[in-house]
Amino acid sequence: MTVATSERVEAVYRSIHPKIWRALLAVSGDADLASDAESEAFAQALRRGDEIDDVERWVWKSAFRILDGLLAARRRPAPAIADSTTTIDATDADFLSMLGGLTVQQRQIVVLRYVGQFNSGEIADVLESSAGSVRVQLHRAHESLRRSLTEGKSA
Amino acid sequence: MTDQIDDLPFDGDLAERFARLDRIEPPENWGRASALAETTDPGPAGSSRWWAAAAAAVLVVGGVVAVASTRGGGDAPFQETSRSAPASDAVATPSAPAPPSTVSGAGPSPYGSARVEPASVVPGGTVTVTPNGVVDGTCSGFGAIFRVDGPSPVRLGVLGPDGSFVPENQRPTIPPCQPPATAEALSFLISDDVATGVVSICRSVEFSDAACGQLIVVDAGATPGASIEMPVVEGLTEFDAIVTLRALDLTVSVERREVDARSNVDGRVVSQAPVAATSVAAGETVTIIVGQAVGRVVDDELAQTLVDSGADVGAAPTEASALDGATFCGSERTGVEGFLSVDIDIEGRRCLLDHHAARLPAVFVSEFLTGPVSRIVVVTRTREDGTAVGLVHTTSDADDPGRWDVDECGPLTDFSNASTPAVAFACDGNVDPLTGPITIDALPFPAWFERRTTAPTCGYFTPQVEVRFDREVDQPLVCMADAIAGGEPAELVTVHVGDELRVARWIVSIGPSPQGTPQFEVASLVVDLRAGTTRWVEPRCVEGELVDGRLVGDFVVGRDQVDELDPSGTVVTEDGEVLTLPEPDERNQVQPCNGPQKVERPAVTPFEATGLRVGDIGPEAARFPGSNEVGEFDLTIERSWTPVATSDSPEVVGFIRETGLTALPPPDDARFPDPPVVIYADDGVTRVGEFGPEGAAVLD
Repeated sequence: MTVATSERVEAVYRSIHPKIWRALLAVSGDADLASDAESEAFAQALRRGDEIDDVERWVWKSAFRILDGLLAARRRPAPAIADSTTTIDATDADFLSMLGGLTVQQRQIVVLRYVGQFNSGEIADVLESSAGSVRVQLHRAHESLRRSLTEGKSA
Repeated sequence: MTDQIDDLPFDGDLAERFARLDRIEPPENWGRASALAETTDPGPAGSSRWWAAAAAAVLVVGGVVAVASTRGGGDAPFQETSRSAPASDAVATPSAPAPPSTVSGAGPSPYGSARVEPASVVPGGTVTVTPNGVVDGTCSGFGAIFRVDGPSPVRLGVLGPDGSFVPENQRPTIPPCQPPATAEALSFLISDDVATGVVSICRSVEFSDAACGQLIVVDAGATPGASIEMPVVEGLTEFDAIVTLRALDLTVSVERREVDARSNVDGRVVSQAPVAATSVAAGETVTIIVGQAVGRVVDDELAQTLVDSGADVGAAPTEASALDGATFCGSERTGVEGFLSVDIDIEGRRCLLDHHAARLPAVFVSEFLTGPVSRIVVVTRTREDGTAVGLVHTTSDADDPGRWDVDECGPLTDFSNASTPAVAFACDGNVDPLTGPITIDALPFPAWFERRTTAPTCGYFTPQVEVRFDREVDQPLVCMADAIAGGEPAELVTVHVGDELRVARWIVSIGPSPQGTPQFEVASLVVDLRAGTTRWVEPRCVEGELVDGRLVGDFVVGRDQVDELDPSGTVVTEDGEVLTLPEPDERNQVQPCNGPQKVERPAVTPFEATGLRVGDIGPEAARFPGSNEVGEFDLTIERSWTPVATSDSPEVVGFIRETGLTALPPPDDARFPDPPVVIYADDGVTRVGEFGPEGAAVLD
């Protein structure tokens, strides 16, 4: 790994770290898993160095795939909030639990939309899906979340 | 509150909730990423084995049957295949054989194949780890202790060159280093901080088969001859019992006793000597008697498949172990090593999905190899009530021994990220199961269908039971879109599965209407789950739109239409009341499309007579609600006419029809390029030209 590579990857890390970590947190509901996935993605980016053209795009893609694997290794995606160091207040914890009610794919899409601010093509690229599928899944995620929010307000 | 930003709907309330997450401060992870990058094998094929195991575990998520793609190269993240040594090479240390697998018997050790001498140690002692091969990219002098009783090795801490042990929760600092590859042995001092029991000790800070081997760390208090209270190990798996007893510095002798195959004690301790709570001396030999199933009742293909896979048939739930009238669709084996090419049973998967769609019971067995000695067996069963269940056996998975898990799926759904294999399905417990009485009569195709002029088929599309073929999920719709754009006839069948209705629609494109709108003939086969009837709805002509690759038109068959079509003239309400209905109305009678028609242009159009142009009177708005074939969107479509002039002259040479959509994302231009924009005369019908590629009007 060259110094230039490290600097290039670190620059991307500095620019997207809060956003990608929060996105991974929102998908997993687990701050430790979010850190694991993010660290592993950047570590792989560092190892690959100049093989990667677009580091930011590559890291987003990698981190989500790694998180997929970590969640799967845990048997079931865990909507429950597990965290070792990060402070999450009750409102946010409730919201993250609500996200846990979505399918993993819907959760990934809605998080990439709102936290990552990606459009359908970009989300499809990260998740290796199609833009059409992203739209349909986002629509369903919206319906589910709105229903949950409404029920939460009326409760 | 819904808004539209970019090409996707955007919900303000949700955005607000997500914005709150910005207040959560993320931990600093750069140092950790850098350390990981320095301490793990480089290159696309290199990584710690734990990640390979995790990647493989993607295959099983509550019964998910899918395969993640493996891609090398610099522009894609890897999910590597295992580089584990073959079984013949991967042997445990001779003096400390690995606890036996409860399923597969002898096999590669999960601890790695490095030689560890001595095989057991009390804290304060020294052990030497000799790699079984060349170890790449390790930091000289550093090693590590791993726990390997989970799905992937978990590092407990790092052994330093100075004899120190830094537990993982204290974030050990590993200096950046790039030593040469080595196969040399290295000795480590085992400190008091190292957990007792069976662990894996590694020549490197990362787990690898070559660098690691099994080590038993004995409780320092268990000095030879000291009195130890015999623990209860009855009921534990053989693995757990051996680990427990060895941790107390007891020597374990294992004997076998035959037990009934259908009992739940196969592979578990059924007796121990001495009995629990008896005092024994450290170092003394104790005996455990482990149940061994005999006389397996293999009464059908399913049970035989489970026996062959090594799953614990005796402890299996009935749904997992007996066909009980269900169709056996087959089995497959996938795993870490080259799993993309391993024995995937496409026909079996398709068989299961076909039965699921028809609400017929069927069973499919998937065996996942998650590591050298780990495997997970998933029995997916479809039921007559429209649900499916995944029965997951993890006996040979060290993380989760001796257990069958049951995942209720609801209907099987598409697995999101699988690009291969050709057919995959997933168990999604978040989806409500299908409900309602099921009566599916085998109706013959009606005469009109048999007599029809066939068109090239685009296949079928099912948005509810999403079956992934070796193409995009919506490829049949894309095919239909291409046919329409090319003015070619095509047939497509869509299947909608709802709580009350299951509707298969036959749609055939028959060219544009005089106004240029695509026309379809649509017929439906409706299975009314509530009334328990099945019937055909005769073809009728509808106008459709092609929006984002989806056919949008008024061809939804709803509850009202089905009720009205009941030939018995009766409808059973939800309260059980039987109502008599009038005769079907003409909406559902056969109304063949007229097809393209030639429209004579009048000598003088009304617009010419008034001196006005279409564009002068504002948009001709035609608003109507519609929905796509799954009823997901309410559409508002506005049409307007816009005058066109050339660059040579301000004179209006014609008009183009524009269609605007609200409440639905615009088409994906990349996948569905806009058709040429036709310029019409002011009768709105006669073509006078079109826009060329540079956007300039080109008159015919």
